[in-house]
Amino acid sequence: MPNARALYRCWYAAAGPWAGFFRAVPLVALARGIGTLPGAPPPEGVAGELARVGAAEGWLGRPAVLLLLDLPGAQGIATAVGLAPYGVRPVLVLLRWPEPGAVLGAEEVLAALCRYAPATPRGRGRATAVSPDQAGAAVQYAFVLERERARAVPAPVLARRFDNRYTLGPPDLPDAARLRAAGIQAVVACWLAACPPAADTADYLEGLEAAGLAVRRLALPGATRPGSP
Amino acid sequence: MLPRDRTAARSAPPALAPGELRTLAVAEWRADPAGYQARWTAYLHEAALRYYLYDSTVAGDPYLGFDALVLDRAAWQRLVEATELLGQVFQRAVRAVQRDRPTLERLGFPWPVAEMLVHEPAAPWLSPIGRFDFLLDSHGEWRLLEYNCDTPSGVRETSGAERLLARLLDPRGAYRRLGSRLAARLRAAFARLLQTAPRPVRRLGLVTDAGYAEDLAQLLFLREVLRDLGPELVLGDIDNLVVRRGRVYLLGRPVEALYRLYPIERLYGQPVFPGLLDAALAGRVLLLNPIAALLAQDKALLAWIWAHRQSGLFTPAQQRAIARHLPETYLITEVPAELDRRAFVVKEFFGREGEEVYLGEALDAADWERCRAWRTFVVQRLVESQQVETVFWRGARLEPVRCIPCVGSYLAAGRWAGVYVRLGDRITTNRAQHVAAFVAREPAP
Repeated sequence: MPNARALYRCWYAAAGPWAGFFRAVPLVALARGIGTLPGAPPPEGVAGELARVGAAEGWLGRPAVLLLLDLPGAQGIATAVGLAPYGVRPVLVLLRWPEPGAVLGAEEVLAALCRYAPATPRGRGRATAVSPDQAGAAVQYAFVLERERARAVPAPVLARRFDNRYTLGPPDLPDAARLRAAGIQAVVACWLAACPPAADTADYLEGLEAAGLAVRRLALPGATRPGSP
Repeated sequence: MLPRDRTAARSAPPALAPGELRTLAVAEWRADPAGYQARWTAYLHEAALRYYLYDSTVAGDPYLGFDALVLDRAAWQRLVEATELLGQVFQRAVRAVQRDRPTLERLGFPWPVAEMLVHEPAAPWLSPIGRFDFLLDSHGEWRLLEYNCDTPSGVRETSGAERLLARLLDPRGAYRRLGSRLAARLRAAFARLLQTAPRPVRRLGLVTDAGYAEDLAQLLFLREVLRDLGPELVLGDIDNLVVRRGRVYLLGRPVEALYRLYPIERLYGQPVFPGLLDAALAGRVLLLNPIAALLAQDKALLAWIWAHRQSGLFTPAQQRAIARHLPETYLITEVPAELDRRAFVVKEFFGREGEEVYLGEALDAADWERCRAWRTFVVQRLVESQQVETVFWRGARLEPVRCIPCVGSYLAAGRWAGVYVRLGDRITTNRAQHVAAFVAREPAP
């Protein structure tokens, strides 16, 4: 059985200077005895495709470029971790509360959180890649959102199933001033072509652009699973 | 495991002067900044994992501070007394105003809601839990800023986070923490209110906007606190709330009582609102925080109480409590002509979390006239609070900051129940920082 508390600390540590924005609510639930333990393996990410584009465009592995992954949660986790060889580290912003019977299940996200947990500095947790900053390399951070948070749900379903969708607001992501103070010059936001960005992501990116930050919007052709947003 | 402080004081803490406030952690930070930061981070993890405080940062900076405010025993006892007396004052004021439609409209209630208030059943208390927010002024007197009676927050912090802080900052138990009774008193208040329901309560609904992390987390914690209360607890999002043929359903299950952590002024615009109120008026559901709770929270009621402070509605003890603790407050449309607004604060009737609160000295004539034209503001004499020093975490840096302690004092079923402290600026906003509340233990005889 995965140790939710240890996992929480591993993922928190991975967020580095962005830990103030870290949220791993499914792991809090697991620690409180709520949420289904993962059975099936988590989905694969789209790290390969993203790395190919990033290398071609010259932003992959650059600490001054922040990545924003608005993918289905489990895929976002897999993708961020899949980019670890390029010096990318994940900052989880996962606010889904996995109440039993809720509109959004959390099995895949929990499976990904267990499967891809970064190594802790003391080597505990399940290692998937060498931590780049430990190796002395520069670090690029990827904020991992979960696109399902804005999935459309019909009213008859809402009458009977707990609505654990949510909207990200201004305190949930760093504003332009905070990004600049951290040396960020540009943001690359990516999502699956089949799932355009949620309205809150679109608003956030517009705000960054209005404040003068460069924003690259990237729709990836990766496949979605049934039930994806 | 949380690391314990190895530099903990080995002797009794220094005594406080009467009416003095003090914080505990700045000296520790100065002595060992790295250790202090590590302990703070470990505390944030524990607060998230044990007490649902996973939303413990705001815009990247910790909202949970790693410090405690220490009160002297006399100040704490005066706070308890003020809380319980003001609880009686607000209860009387609400019951007097609740049946008075013209006054309700003057205090900001639209007429359909005023009409509902007139007919709303009167429970023994305005809500299961309320919180009076005070400042301790330079004369050592508690001065009331507002009463959060509708959906008061901070229970996780006072009941849960403070327990962690007591272990970490006071390992030798030199102090008594002030939130240790909150969960039990809250549970008792719910139990007593549920006994007044017009029909037996088999299910108690707990409803919020689950899309807001803070609100959902508060309700999850409340569900744990109320776990053994008796009725089945059903937790749902506001979108999961339905009224059909006069009965209230949450997640498709009928509920006979409902506690809402969702501002009623927002509920007012929702399709479910009229049906919910009809069900309450018909005795089909008990609203544990009814519209009367919002009336108690309405800052215009502060002005009404001030205007009636010598009325026979209040007992002599209650009149003294008003005079002692309530700063001079007026509706903006009724301020005396000679009032110097630089000595006052302007507050919107229903503003929450410091929203729409303006220092009079910062308002120019045009702003002042705009507020007057909008009408829904009160003008309250500014309280010059004591200040304390604490440590704030800004980005990657820790720094000492002098700030103002806003001391929230809980009332549950008519009794004082605990303290929720935030250290912040002159106007307390969501950028203020929670810290524990301690009082020195009585010396051994």
